[in-house]
This record gives sequence, structure tokens and C-alpha cells, in this order.
Amino acid sequence: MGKLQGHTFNHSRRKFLKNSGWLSIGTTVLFSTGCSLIPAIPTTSDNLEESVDAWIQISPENRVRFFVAKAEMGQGILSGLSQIIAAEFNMSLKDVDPVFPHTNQISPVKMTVGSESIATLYPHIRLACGRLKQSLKTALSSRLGNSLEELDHAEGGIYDRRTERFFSYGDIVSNQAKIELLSEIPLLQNPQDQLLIGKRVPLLDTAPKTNGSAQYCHDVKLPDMLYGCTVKPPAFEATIESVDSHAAEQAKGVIRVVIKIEHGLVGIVATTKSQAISALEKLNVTWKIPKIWQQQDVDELLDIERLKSQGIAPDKLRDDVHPSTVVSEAAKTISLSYSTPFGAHAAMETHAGLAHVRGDRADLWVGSQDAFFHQKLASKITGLALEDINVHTTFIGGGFGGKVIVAAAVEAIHLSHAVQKPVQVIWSREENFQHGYFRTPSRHHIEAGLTAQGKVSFWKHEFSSGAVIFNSSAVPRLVHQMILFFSADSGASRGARIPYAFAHQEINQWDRIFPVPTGAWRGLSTSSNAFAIESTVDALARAAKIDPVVFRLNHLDNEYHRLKKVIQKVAGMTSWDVPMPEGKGRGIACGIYKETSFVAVVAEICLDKKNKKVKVEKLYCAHDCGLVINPNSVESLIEGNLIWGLGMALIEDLSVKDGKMNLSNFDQFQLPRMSDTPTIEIALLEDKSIPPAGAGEPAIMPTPAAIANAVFDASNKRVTSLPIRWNDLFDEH
Amino acid sequence: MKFDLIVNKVNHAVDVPKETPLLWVLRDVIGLTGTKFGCGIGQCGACTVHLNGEAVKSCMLPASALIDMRITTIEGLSADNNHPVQQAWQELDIPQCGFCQSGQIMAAASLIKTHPTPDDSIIDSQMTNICRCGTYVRIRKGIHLAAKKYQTIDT
Repeated sequence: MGKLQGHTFNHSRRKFLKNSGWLSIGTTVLFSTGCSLIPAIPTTSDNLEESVDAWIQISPENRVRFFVAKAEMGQGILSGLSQIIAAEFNMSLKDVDPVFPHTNQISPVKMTVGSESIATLYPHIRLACGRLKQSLKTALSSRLGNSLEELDHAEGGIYDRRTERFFSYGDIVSNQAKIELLSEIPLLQNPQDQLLIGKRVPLLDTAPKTNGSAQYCHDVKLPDMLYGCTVKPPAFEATIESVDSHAAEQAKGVIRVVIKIEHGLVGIVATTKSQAISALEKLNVTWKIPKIWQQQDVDELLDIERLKSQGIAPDKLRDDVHPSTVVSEAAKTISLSYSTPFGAHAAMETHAGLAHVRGDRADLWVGSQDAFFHQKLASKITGLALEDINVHTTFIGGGFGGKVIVAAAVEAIHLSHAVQKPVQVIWSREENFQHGYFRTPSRHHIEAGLTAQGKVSFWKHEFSSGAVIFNSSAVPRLVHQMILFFSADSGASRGARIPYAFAHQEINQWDRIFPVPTGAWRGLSTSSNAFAIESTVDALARAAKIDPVVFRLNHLDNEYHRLKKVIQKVAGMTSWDVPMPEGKGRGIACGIYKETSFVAVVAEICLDKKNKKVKVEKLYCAHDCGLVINPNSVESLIEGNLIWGLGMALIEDLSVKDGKMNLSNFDQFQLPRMSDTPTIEIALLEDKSIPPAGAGEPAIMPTPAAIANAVFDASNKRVTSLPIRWNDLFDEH
Repeated sequence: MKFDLIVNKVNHAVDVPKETPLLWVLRDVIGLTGTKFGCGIGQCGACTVHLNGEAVKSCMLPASALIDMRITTIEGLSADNNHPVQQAWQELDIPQCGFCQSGQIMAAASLIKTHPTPDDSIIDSQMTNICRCGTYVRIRKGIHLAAKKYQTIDT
């Protein structure tokens, strides 16, 4: 263990790198020596055991300063970690100073994804705080000549029972030149006994977000900062053929026209943003476009019948193929096909980056979910060593999976490298909608059978999807194909394994590659998979003439008692046994997110025949994510997820047209606004002895299905494609 | 084009092309970055400021329309982050990522001035700002709370 001084950390950079486990990842070592064959990939692992101690520091003023090692994008990690740390030291939130580190202040940390920051960090942070407290206690005991038994941890310090004196942790730190960090595992308080855990304490970043002082990447300014923008391909798969930059070079305010065709980059650096944009329009670029993609081309790649007729074998997630006797003996069988479209993240802050490359070092400001990935990219582009590149994180104006890779920051790096001055790139909304990456569309086909007693006797779920966990922006096509050869896309399959004890389950997955970049979107494929699964479960329940809640409970093993509880709870929040009036409907759906968060949602909708719209009037959610650090924070995230689910079910739609995505701005792309917002009721179920799990995504999983099931309840029409279109349901044109 | 502009009660002499939207005058020239860029076509509301007391979308106003105008941005809404809307937002912990919230707060502040006791249908029709994080339920509550606070100040 390292030595910890009172005021500053004393870890060498090499120890950081060693602690991080970077040296154990061959690709990273090759990468930092300039090998261009292996692509930089997002940061998928970290070595928390050795690195978290270095994040937390006590000052002589008795304040706890710590590095917020994950991206704060509205999910509340800054406040959540502050609350956990304040609880450990038995101090108030006012005594905690969270700091966003840059990439050379901490060892690499896994990207902020997967609703797992609190879950993964919680045990390590607790141990690090406990070790620090114990080390301070030991240091005090040797200074005073007390035995450890005579010293008690108290609020923000240590109480000496022998002399009845209190020493704050800050006092102890001020009086020692060096404090040795002990390696024994400290005893930790039961979180149920900690005053702050489970409390609705105010969030630390609310005040700066209400007076305009919270800083985002768009807001960072450097002296003599220049502005950059780049040409964008007019179609998927377009490559640059030729560039005539003569007119652009003469344009007012232009510092440099940067042409790097091998990187697909042609851009302008100018003194003002508007000058950069004007000059860009004067660039004459010709493109080679091998094919103009249409939505139909993507649809063909995903079409399950086509895949089967082409003999393309799927990955098998479950392979209990049902014998033909089971099918023939089934009292009823159901066969349903489902379709979900492309999705956009549409975070309010567009992609942006501010890069300052000069001489032998670089600084980058980027609102991304993976600062260390951008550090690697910067190293690849500039040739600088990782330790000479600092990537700074600000508040992020929404991530939702869409800011793992921020191409605008990559552009800024290229442009700044060319001019050796700070260059800011802020994408327009049009660029953001067209040139980021998307949620992939999916296709599902489910066949299931029922016995006469209303038990599911076989379940066969086949689905196809584009890239989810392997972001096709990050990974070249050839590498992507290679990866898929060995393993199915685990993002596409998230939520496909069902908790129901259906006999004879077969789950087949086709992973498809198409040139539209796709990757992680909030909840990954859980909302698409649950839409297909929970709609079919609803259909089975109705075919069996069994209440949809009872039907689900009948098929859940006791192993899934937490799922049973949220289902029962959410139904109990409504007047479940009272049928909805004419023109209205109620639907339920449930899901388990990454095996650790349990959610059930009921939607109440009304059919607005006058406006030919489905209106969600109320959403109920029962949510169990283990120990809750701040219930207010978790409820906020649930509200957000329910709105996302509503958007996916009813509003959001995009498709490929003439080689591009068919949307450019919020006049074309509709997403939930205030007038779409239902009333929401939330119940948090919590066993405080279960470690904290995620809340950033789980509630989106069952929401579209709950709404679709509510539509069936109201109309007797089964929704099989999203977004729900009145004309598709009621055939009125 | 050279002209004077009053922002948060301070006079600024600016010199920008006449078509430059107010949003960028505020952010890049004057240096007030609390007002955000979200779409550039007046659809999302992240750029909402007050022009002579009324909520407007600053991405849609060219510099040529701003001569001698009084602008209030989020930074100037109150002396100490304590406008009734800001107080309500803090009490309910409304912001998540926060990027839209300057615009939401400016829109809400204007709303409660013109509608002292707004009901949900007024809020729905007037508050068109986009929040991708989905804080709408809390914004509704926040506006009701702010309206009550505002009335207390008024009387």
C-alpha cells in the first residue's frame, strides 16, 4: 500500500498505470507505442481494489475531498458518492468536496455505463474510507500513546475516552507528516445504522444547475480559442474522393483548412464559429458512395424468415428445443412477430470537444461517458504518450449511452493538432441527429403454447438485431465481424432470458451488421426484448383466460420472489380488479435488469378517438434495486425512464432514407414533452441488506410493453410494432 | 455591426455580424454561458432568455433586432439563486443533467408572472421546452410551488 501524506497524493504515474491493470491488456500497451493495427476500444475494465484509496483525501480543515471517478450526466453519481462518503466519515454533505478528476489524476476507470456505478463502486469506496479512518486512528494512537481500544470513531473524527478529547480527522492529518495507509480490511458500519444512507438529502449539483453556473463542455473557454467544424458524409458508407479547398482557404477568419482523407476528416479552423461554418460551405468535396441505403435494405437484413431461408445460423441463448409432441398437445398456440425501429439518444447537449494540442502535451475537454477512451484516441491521433494527455470531464448534458464515443471531440483533437492551438468543436443538432450512433432496430418472432391448465408448455423466441454492445462506431467492420464470430452481442440479448419457468425454451439470436452506426441506448435492448416478451405473455394470459398478473405469478419460481413482489406491489397500486371504462385500458409488464434490479410497470391509457392518438394517463412503477442511497434520486431516474419508455412506445420514430437517417432537428424528430407527460406513481421496494443495484436504466425495460398491453386492454388490438400508430391499429385513413 | 445591448442590467458594446443570433452574442461575445444551445431553430427552448421581461428563444433573435434591448439571462434572474422558481427547483431537486434547466427556469419564471395560478393544462401548453432526462413531472410540481411563493412575494 502507498503512503498517504496529509496534503497531497504521492503515487507515481507508473504506479497508477500498474494499479490500473493497463499493462495487463495487450492492446493498450501496443496502442501507446503507436501501433495502429489494434483499434482503441472503450474502457471496459478497471482495477478498483488498488485505485480507490487514491481517490479520497482528508484535508487539515477536516474536509473530505474526493475524485468523482465516473461521469455525472444527470444520474446523480456526484451526489450519490458524496452521500456514501459523508456517511462513512459520519460527516455532513457540507463537509465533502467532490472533484471531477482529469485522466492523469486517477487510474483508468471503466466507462460510465450499465447502471452500475454505485453498485460497483460502493464496496470499494466503503473499504477505502474505512481503511483511511482506521489508519488515522492508528496514527493518533501512536502519537498519543493510547491503545486503539481507548479511541472511538465519532462524527468527523476520533474521540479519546481516556482524556475525553475529540480530534477531528483534519487535526490528525495536520499533525502528521506521513500517515501509513493500512492494508487490513476495516470493520464497516451497517448501512442501516448510517444516518445519511437512505435519506432524501438535497443533491449537490442542483444549485449550480439552477443559476447557470454548472459548466458543461460547451461552456469551457480557453484564451485564444479557435472554432472548428468538419464536413460530414452525405450518406452511409460515403468516402472522400477529392477536396478542393481553394475557396475555403480564402474565406474570412480561416486559420487552416485541415485535410486528412485517411481519417475521413476535412475541416476548418477559424477565429469565430460562424466564420468556420461559412468557410465549410465553400469547401468542394466529392464523395464516393457505393450504395444509397434505404430502410428496406436494413429491414431485409433483419428479416427473420429471410435469415432462416438463407440458412444463416443464429446464436442459441437457450436450446431446449421443444419436441413436436409438445406442440401437438398444446391446447392453444400463439405466434406473434414484433418490430422496433431505430432510436436516437437526443441528449440536450450536442456532442462537443475542446482540444488543446501543443508541442509535447494535450488537454481535452469532452462531455463523454469514457474519458480514458478519448485519452487513448488522442494519443493515437497525436502520437503523444497517455501521460502527456489530460482529458477533463465537466457536467454532461445527457449521455444515455450516446456519449461513450464523442466524435466531435475526435474532430477537435485532429484540428487542434494541426494548428497547435485550442480548437472547440460543437456539433449542430443536425450533425448530432445524423452523425452520432443510434439504437438498432430489432425484429422478433415468438411462438408459444399453452396447456389446457393455462401453463406455457413451450416458448420459442427468435430475434435479430444490429450492434448494441459492440458499438459499430468504435470497431471497424472487419473486427466487428470477427467478434461476432466468437460471441453473440450481449447488449442485444440483454433481457431476452426470461424469468418465467416456461417449459422448453428456445431463444435464438441473429446479430446483423449494417453501415448505420448503432450502439448502446438507454437500457440497451431490454426495452425491445421486453416489448416482444411481455406482449406475448399478455397474449398468452388472455388466451388462457387468466388474469395477466396471476398468469405471471403462476410461472415464476420462488427464486424470483423479488420480481413477484414488484408485480404484486404495482398491481396493488392500481384498482387492478376493476375493469377500465370504455375507451381506456390498463396493462402490466415486468422485467429484471442485469439480474439485480426488479421492475414492474402498469400503464393506464385512453384512446383519444378525436385526435387519433393513444394518451398515457398514468404510469405506476414498483422498483427494487437493493439498498437505496437517496430515494429522491432513484425516483427521479425512474420518472425519466418511464418517460423514455413512453417516447419509445408512442412518439419516437426514425428510419433510413436515401442513405441518411431521415431526421435533422426537433421539428422533424418528436420526443416526449410536457404535454405528453402522464401522472406517475412510484413505489420503492427495498431490502436494505441487499447491496445497491442500478436505477439509471431498469424502469425503461417494461414500459413500452406495459403501454402496448394497455392498448390491447382498451382496443383488443395487439401492438406489434413501435411506435404505436393509430392507423395501424384501427385501419382508419 | 456595432451596437449596445443591456444584459442583466449591464451595458455591453458588441460588434458582430448583424445576423448573429443573440444566443451566441451571449455565450461567445459577452461570455455568459448559462444560456444553452440545443437546436438552433427555436424548437427545444434551451436558449430561453427574457427580452424586455418576456420569455424568448435567443437562438432565433438576430443581433440586428437587439439594439438597446434589455435582456435577462439565467445569471441575472436573481441576485442569489433565490428567485421563487429557482427556490422551487432546489426544494424539489428538479435538475438531472441540468442542460435544459436554464431555459426551463426562464420559461417558468415568465409563466408565473403572466399566470399567477397556472393549472396543469396551462403548464402543458406553455411549457414546451424539451427535457430529455424527463423531469416534466417535477417541473409541473415546481411551477405550482413557485407560483405560490411568487404570490407571497407579491402581496
